[in-house]
Amino acid sequence: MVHIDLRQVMVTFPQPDGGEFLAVNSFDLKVEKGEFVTIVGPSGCGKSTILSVVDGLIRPSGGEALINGKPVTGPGSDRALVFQEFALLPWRTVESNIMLGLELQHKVPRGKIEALVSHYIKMVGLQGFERHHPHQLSGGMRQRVGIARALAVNPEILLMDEPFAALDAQTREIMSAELLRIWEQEKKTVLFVTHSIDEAVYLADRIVVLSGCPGCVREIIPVSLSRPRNLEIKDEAEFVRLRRHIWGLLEQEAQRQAGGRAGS
Amino acid sequence: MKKWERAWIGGLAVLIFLILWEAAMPLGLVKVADISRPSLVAKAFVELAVSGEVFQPLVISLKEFLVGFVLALIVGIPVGIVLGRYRFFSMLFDPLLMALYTMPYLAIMPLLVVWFGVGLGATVAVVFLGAAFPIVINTAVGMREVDPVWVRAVRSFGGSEWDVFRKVLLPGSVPPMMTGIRLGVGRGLLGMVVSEMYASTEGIGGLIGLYGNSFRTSELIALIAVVSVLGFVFVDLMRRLEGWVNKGRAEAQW
Repeated sequence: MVHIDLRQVMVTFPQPDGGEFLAVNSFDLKVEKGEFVTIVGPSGCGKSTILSVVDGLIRPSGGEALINGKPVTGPGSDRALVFQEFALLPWRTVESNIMLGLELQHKVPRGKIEALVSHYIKMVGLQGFERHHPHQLSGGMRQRVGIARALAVNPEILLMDEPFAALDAQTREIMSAELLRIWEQEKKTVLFVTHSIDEAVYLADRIVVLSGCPGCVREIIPVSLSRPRNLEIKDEAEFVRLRRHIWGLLEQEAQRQAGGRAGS
Repeated sequence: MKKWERAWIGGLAVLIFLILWEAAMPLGLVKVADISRPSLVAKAFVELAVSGEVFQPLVISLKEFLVGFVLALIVGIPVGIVLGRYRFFSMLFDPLLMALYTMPYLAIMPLLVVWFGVGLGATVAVVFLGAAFPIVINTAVGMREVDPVWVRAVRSFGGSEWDVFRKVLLPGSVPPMMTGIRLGVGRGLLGMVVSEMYASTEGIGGLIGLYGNSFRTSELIALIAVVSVLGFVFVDLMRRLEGWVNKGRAEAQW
């Protein structure tokens, strides 16, 4: 069953000079229910914009975004976003940050909120840190809070915007393994944007490779690696082959960016 | 450990300062009327307290300061919120506000006396003028400098404009708001003293004027210390209030 259906999605942003900036041009993608899809591509290819469209924070200027066949009109409780910058409220504790989404959705009674929060704190492995504030946590732990906050509203779709990009390499590996462990339990539909080819291959059922022209799909690559996966899978021939293949698709663009301007 | 170290080193510096001050006159460096001595200031302080001379003026001053300062909070915070939130209003009022903020507000004392009368009125007005501007400006800055990603987080969970306001903008702008309030306490107290010295001759400022004009330096310094303590107490009170408003909030180190 098709869960997310993006048809010819186009996004333009008005420029200060009166012109328009084309962020995404005619993007097509269908994501099945329970599927883990990663989007990888060079800086400025519109990856994050696509997530914002699915989340409903940005209206497409053309085409349509459908969830379960219905057009997206704004953010909803069936979707939750995990941010690259974690986006935790620094004056709130771990507990109360995780509560944020539940509070905002007004439907959940107070007693239930507390039970849910402690359930997800356990799931992301933050027991004992309930009363800590974000500045007292490492980057990896902060993003665990971000993930728990998103899961707590029990969304059908998890949208992840380079969630591990701000973490160091080792933490990043561990967090992606953790994410897969949680996903095996929760079976959400995941749309995961990343710069890292490794991460894209390791996590995905399918990889969408974008090219430099905004939102142009170079290739959609199915990943046949078996699940559940652990980090050793990165040494398997199939993993190495996929990684090399994607690098081949992205290299030219990456070389140009590395020479011309620093990517972010 | 670190905390004790800080207090210890700071305390030592104060002690050395007091000893040098105490020694300056016997060493023949200065005349007593110029800078007095810590022991004489302490004696003056005790005498002022024992005679009760300081209490009635203190009550008057407190009343004037509190009325002016609370008015500044009541007006300043909402105005700051509106200016920080709506670009139109900030474009409209920012130049005027900056001009008024940098204006030497004590210089319009004579006008305030004409408008509000000698005594309570003029002093309350000066305290209000002194305190309101930093509160307005810093509250507005706080609202503007809230991290947009927090706003996106609230929106992505389907939060309304009102949710964005009460869950992010308001709590997120508390630290700059507190900076404004602290500045406001200082400026308000300064206004209070000057107004009492020159317009009303009542309150602590009135006493300061009296002893200052008769070169009773020890009493003068003792009274200035009283005002300093008042300022310290108010800033501390506001900090407690902040802690009480946001129970469990992290110290301002984010």
